[in-house]
Amino acid sequence: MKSKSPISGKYKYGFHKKENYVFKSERGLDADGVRNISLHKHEPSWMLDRRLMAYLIYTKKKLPMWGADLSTIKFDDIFYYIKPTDKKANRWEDLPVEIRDTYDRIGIPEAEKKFLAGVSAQYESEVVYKSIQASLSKKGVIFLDMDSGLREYPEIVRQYFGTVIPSGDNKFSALNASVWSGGSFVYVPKGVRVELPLQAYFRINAANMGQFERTLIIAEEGSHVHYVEGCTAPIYSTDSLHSAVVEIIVKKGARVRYTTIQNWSNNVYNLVTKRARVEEEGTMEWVDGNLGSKVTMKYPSVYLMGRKARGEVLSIAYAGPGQHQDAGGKAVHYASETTSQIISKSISRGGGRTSYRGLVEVFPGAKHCKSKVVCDALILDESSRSDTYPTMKINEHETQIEHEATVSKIGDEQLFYLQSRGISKPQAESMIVNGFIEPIVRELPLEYAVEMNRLIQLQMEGSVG
Amino acid sequence: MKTITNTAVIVKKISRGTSHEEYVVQEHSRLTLVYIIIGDTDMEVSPAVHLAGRGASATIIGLITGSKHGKIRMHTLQHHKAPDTTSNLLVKSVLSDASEIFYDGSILVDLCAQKTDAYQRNENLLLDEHTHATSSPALEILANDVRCTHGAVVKTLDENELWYLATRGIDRDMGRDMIASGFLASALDRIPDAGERALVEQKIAQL
Repeated sequence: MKSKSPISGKYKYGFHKKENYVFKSERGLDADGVRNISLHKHEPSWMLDRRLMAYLIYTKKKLPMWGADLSTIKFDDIFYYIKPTDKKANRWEDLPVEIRDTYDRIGIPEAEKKFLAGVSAQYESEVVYKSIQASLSKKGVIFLDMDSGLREYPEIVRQYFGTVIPSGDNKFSALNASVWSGGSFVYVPKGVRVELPLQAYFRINAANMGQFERTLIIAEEGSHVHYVEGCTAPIYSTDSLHSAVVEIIVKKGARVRYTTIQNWSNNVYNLVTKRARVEEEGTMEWVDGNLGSKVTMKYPSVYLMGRKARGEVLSIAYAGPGQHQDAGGKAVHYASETTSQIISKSISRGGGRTSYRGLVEVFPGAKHCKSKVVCDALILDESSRSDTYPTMKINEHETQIEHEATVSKIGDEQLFYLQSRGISKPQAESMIVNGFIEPIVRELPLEYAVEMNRLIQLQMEGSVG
Repeated sequence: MKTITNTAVIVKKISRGTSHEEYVVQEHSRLTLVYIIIGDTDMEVSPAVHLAGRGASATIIGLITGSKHGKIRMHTLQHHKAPDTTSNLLVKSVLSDASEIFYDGSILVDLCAQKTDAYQRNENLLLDEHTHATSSPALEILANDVRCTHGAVVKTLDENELWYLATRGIDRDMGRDMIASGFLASALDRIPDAGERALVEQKIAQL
C-alpha cells in the first residue's frame, strides 16, 4: 500500500504499520457476515438478533438527501470487522511491538506519565490496551471496551443499548448497530465524581476498513464524569469509513462532559451519531473538535427530558483543501425550564467547506425554556466556503430563543498590526485563528488544548502562497 | 429619498399606515436613524439605508410597541454599495394583547463593497400569550472581504424578574412596565456617540 498525503506532505500522523491480524472478515456485508461477527465475539443471542434486525433496517434505509456528498463511499469494498490480536494486554510492555510503536508516535506513554485516569487505546476494531486506576474500580466505576462490557455486564448493556439512538434512527446508526465493534462502556454509580478525565484513543489501521465503535455512557444520579476521545489516523490510498454511535444517559442531577478531537486523515468519511438523554437537573456538555477527515457529518444532540435539564454543545470545525465539515448540534427541549446553548466556530481555508447545521426544538408544554445558538465562521480565502443551516422549531410560547451568526474574514488591520510588531504573516494568521477558537479550546484538557493549537499551526503552515 | 452628508440624527414616530423611506449616506457621513413605532392596527414600516460612499456609516434603531390586534410588518434594508462602510441595526419590540410582529431584514453587500461591517439584530419581548413574533434575516453578500452578523431573540417575561420586583414592593403590572421599558430603552446604547444619544433621547421626549 502506498500512502499519499493530501496536505502538502506535512501530515504528522500519516504513517501506517504493516497489518498483522488474527481475524479479518470478508469485504462487504451480508447477514452471514453479521452472524460471523457475533459468533467471533461469543455474544448472547439477543445481541445477534439486534444486529440482524439492524442489518435489515440498514439495507432498507436510504442515504440522507441533505448534507455532504456521500455517493463515493463504496460500501461493498469495506472490511466490517477486524480483530487485531487474540488477547488483550493490561500492561504496556505486553503489547505487540508494532502497536506499541504506533502509539509511541501519538504519544500515549506521555499521557500516562501525567497520571491520567485511565488510558483505553483502540487499535482497529477492538480495545487491546487498557489501564484503569485502582481508585476508579474502588468507586465502582466501570470503564471497559464495549465488547467486554457486554460480556461482563450484559444486564446493564441490555437495559440501555439502543435506547437513546435506536437502530432505525438513520442509515448509519443501523449500520453501526449491525456491525459494531469496540468503543467504550462507562458506568458511573450514584453520587460518584470521577475527578480525572477518562480517555480513549482511537486508531484505524487497515485500508478500506470501517470503524464502527459503539459507546455507551451511563451516569447515575448525582454523578460526574468527563470522557475524552481523541483520534488520529494514518493516511491510506482509498477511502475509509468511520461510523460510530455514542449514547449517553445522564440521570437526575448528573453531569457528563464528552470531549472529542477528531483528526482522521483526509480520506476518511466520518459519519457519527451522538446523542445524550438528560434527565431532571442533569447537565450534558459536548465539546467537539473536527479537524481531519474528508467528510464529517456529526451533530451531537441533547434530548432534555426532565425539568431544569441543561445541554451544551461547543463545536469547532476546520476544513482545509478537499474537506467538508458538516457539523453542528441539536437541542431538543421536552421538559419545562430546560436550557441549552450551542456555540459553533468554523474555519475554512484552501477550498475547504464548513457547514453549520443545527436544530433547536421546543415541544408544546415545555415552558420557560431558554436556548442560545451562536455560530461564527471565519473564511480564510476566496476559494473556501461556509454555510449556516439553523433550524428552529419553537412550539411553546413561553420561551427565550436567541440566535446569532457571524461570517468574517481575517481582518487586514489585525494582520497589519501584528506584522508591524515583527510577526510574520503566517504566524499572525495562525495567532488570529487560535484566538478565534480560544473560547472552545480553553474548555479542553490541557494536553488536548496544546495539541489543538499545534494542529492548527501545522495546518496553517503553507497556507499562504 | 434623503441624502445624508456629514452627520444626521433623525427620529421618527409612526403609529399607523405604511411608511417607506430611503436614505443615501454619502462618503464619510454618518446617519443615526431611530424609529418609534406604536402599533395597534395593521402597519408596515420599511426603511432602506444605502451606504453609497466610502467610509459611510449608519446606526438604525427600531423601538416597537404592539398592542390590541396590531400587525406590524417591518422590513429593513442595509445596502452596502461602497467599500469600508459600516451599518449597525437593532430592532426591538414589546408586544402585548394579541399583537404580532413580522420582521425581515436584508443585508445586501455589493461586489465592490469590500471591508463592509454589517450588524443586524432583532429582539422581541412577548408580554401576553397571544402575541407572536416572526424574525427572518436575508443576507446577500457578493463581496468576499466582509464581516456580517445576524442575531435574533424571542423571549417572554421572566417570572423570576417579576418575583424579584414583587419582593421590593412593585406589583405585577408595574413590574411588567418597568421590564418592558428597560428592554426598549437599552436599545439606545447601540448609538456609539454620547452626544447623539442624548439628542435622540431629547427628541423622543418631545414626541
